[in-house]
Amino acid sequence: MKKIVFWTIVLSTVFFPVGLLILQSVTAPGSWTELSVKGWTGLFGQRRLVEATLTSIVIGAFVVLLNIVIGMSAGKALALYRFRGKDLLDTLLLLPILLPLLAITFGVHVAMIRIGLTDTAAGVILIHLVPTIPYSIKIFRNGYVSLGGKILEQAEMLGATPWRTLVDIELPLLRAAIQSVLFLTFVISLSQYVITAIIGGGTVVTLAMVYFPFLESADTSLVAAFSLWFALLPLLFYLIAEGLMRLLPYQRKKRRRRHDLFY
Amino acid sequence: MTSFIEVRQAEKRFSSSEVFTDVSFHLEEGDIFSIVGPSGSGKTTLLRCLAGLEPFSEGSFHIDGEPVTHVKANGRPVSLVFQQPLLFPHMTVLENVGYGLTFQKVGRKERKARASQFLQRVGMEKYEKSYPHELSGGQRQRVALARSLVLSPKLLLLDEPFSSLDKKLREEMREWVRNLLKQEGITAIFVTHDQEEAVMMGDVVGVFKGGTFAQVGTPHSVYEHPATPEVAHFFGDNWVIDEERYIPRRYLSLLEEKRGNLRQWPGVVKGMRFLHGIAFTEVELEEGRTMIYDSKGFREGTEVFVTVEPEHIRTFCEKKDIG
Repeated sequence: MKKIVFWTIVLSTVFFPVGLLILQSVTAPGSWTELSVKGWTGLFGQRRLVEATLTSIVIGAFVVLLNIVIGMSAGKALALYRFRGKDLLDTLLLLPILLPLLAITFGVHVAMIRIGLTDTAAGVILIHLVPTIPYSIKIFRNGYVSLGGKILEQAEMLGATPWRTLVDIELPLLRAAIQSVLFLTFVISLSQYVITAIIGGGTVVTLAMVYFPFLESADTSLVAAFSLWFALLPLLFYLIAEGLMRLLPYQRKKRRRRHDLFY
Repeated sequence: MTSFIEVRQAEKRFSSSEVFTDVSFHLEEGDIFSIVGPSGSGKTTLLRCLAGLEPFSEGSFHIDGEPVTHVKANGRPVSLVFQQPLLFPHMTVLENVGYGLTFQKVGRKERKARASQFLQRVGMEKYEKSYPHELSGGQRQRVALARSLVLSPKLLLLDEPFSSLDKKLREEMREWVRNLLKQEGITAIFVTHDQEEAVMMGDVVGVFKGGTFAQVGTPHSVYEHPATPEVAHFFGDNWVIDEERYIPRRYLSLLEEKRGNLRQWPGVVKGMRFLHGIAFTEVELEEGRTMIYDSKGFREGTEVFVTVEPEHIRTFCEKKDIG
């Protein structure tokens, strides 16, 4: 019975909408039966599609990387170290998601103009950190709380340097947290339209900027194809990152042997 | 001549509060030193300072003549076995044991051979390819011990390593670990809050109270000749009469009437307790409650006299028998 309920929910909330989208992308607008590839040809006919896709991937990759570095450092400090003002810092780090993003962006915009970061990919990467970093810190903080400081001290007692502790113990054991941060922050970065437009000033063109104007289009096949393309990117990025994580030492899957201690 | 392990005037403070002070002791190679004390006495912090996980605020620490006071944990010839086994869950048992050897520039084959050899010594050779979650609590602690011993540390620190095990297993492990340490000739410091465990494990026992050693000596000398009322209370089996005198419990008995040639204290029976199959009577005295070995089975509320031959009343020896 439980299985039936589970599959009903999964099918109706996940597979059914995606299935509809796929169907819509390969049929003519307004018809569910007349097959047509116009949606996809229209999508690939977009002049800036490849450029915008690559820009989104590069920006997303940097945002993910910075989130992992900053999130792990701050999350570790909040979970394992004792220092004065910890609770205050914890609250301050949440502020970016409590305040309206636009208000922050307008404020930061002026500062970015002064230091020449507007209209650059670096500026866009920085502004994408605002809506992502608080989540990453929370996720890594929980990860380090469940890991505990003792196991890291144990590695140190066995002679490990901080770097080796990170590579051999922290990264493999925080894999679930890294996966969550990776997927979440990439999707958030990919979806940013307004703040990218303000800081990127139209010079930095991401996929969202090409995609959003089409939402008003009457060509439902093209919009459906665009939506699927948009959804494929995080999946693709996730698979690549997952493959890279398999290269970490002491993984149980097939590839681990390469980094094994004794083989 | 200096000793193999030498700690002098060690002190640890956290901002304004003092955790321990004036801690000095020395050990010879192969000695096992039990540090016993109540929770919160600072013994675990002392162990963390010896391990290098915390710095000493004052004092010096030498191992085999080398100063290690300012050497970081990963550079000290010291291993620490924590209360929990803390095996790395993503590594097999063999990888766990061999992990520390990767930092000692030992070749792969040698690493595997040495890890296997130590797993054999702790009776865990069948589990080389298992993961920690597949082992029982006692097996995990054996692997943790092998992981520390394989590094041939000059000093092994054990922080209540049996506290997470059940009573029967704990008793088995104590004997087994002591024999193993003696066989390997390992110098070790063993921290516990359990007096029985301290006596069983240590060649030398240090009673740690209020952030310093109240007494250090052989288990027998500390048990038989406590230096202070605190030591007599915590370690040994004594009835402390006042700040200067105590009586080993085995010399106390209960009588219903006064006898002229004995020292006697009036009291009221409060109940019975059984310890290792022996009946004890709990008696309320003016000086507080105490337990007396007695098989007569006095009923609760009976007025009795706690009695002792005068020659068994002892005075505290008031000296720290260091090392």
